[in-house]
Amino acid sequence: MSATPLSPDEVQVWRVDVPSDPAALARLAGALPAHERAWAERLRPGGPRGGFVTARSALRRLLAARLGCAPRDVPLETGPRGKPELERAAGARLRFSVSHSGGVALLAIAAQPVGVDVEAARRVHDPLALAARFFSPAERAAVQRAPAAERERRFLELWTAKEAALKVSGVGLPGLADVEVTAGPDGAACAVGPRGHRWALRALDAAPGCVAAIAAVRLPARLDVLHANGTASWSLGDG
Amino acid sequence: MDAPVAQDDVVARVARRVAEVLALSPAEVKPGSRLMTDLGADSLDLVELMFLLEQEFGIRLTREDLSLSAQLGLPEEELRTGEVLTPKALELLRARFPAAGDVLHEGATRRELAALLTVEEIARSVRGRLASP
Repeated sequence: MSATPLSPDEVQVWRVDVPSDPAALARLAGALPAHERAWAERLRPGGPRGGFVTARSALRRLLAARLGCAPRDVPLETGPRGKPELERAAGARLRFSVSHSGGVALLAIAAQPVGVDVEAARRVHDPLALAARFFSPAERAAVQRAPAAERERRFLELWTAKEAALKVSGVGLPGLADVEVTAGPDGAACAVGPRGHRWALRALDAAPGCVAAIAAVRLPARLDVLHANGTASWSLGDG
Repeated sequence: MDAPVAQDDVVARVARRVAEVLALSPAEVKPGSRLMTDLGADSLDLVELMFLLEQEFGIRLTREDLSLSAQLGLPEEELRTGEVLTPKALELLRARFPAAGDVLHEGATRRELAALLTVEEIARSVRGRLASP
């Protein structure tokens, strides 16, 4: 098994839609290894099950194309932080992140740690009060500055940015208060974590109505979201 | 002094807030419903729920209140190796959740425990905070 490497600064983001046809979803689930099918069975149909099955099967096909193996044979294991990772020997430089919400899954792969997060259009009951409780003073001020009609969206932009940064930092939700979304010296969005760790951030135009963000140590100047339907074969090209 | 909040009442009020955050009908939310796997809650839903429960009950919840691993009260080295739960942690969890063999398998990680978060478990945390804010 030989990995097709990504160039050091290459970051790819793929969007996959959860199939609306239950038979198509069942076919995707059928191609997963037994333990992942078992997990999917525990998830509510019409709820998180579709997102998990779509995202996991897309991840397997995407990594399989890079690793030169069958999707079912991609050696995903639960890493020390409880998230799926490639076994070290298979692709030490191949890193990825997955998020799904509503009917959309986003996958990011890179040669560096990467974090992606998507939120489908949703109601946020009280964005100002939530920001006051869970965000830093500067983040809260950013929500407050937004016109009332845009506060919900501004909150979700900051939330997805924080989630993406938490995923790349590896601490996850418990570190919510430890990562602040701000602007770097060049004006570009970045996240600052404990001990001054800094990650580049970018909002992604992933799907209509969705809010999404990606975080990594470095992000390329141009970052398009590639769109694949649930059953398409991946056309990876050279970047 | 306020009258103590009845136990069943806490579960019912938590269930009502869960339904509100997840835009579900109250009938869909049962005391034993698992928030993430049965009801489809994501991390933002949990944060919204935490906030609404704080308002409803006049309490302050911490991350430990929604973390079953933290509630075991084990020192980190006895709780997990990396993120994987130790046999001792699994034994304690199996005693507390006898019907959760699907989640509490050998090699289960701390993160997977989020799947065990039920309406009843959250109500238990709320009651704990009501008793000792």
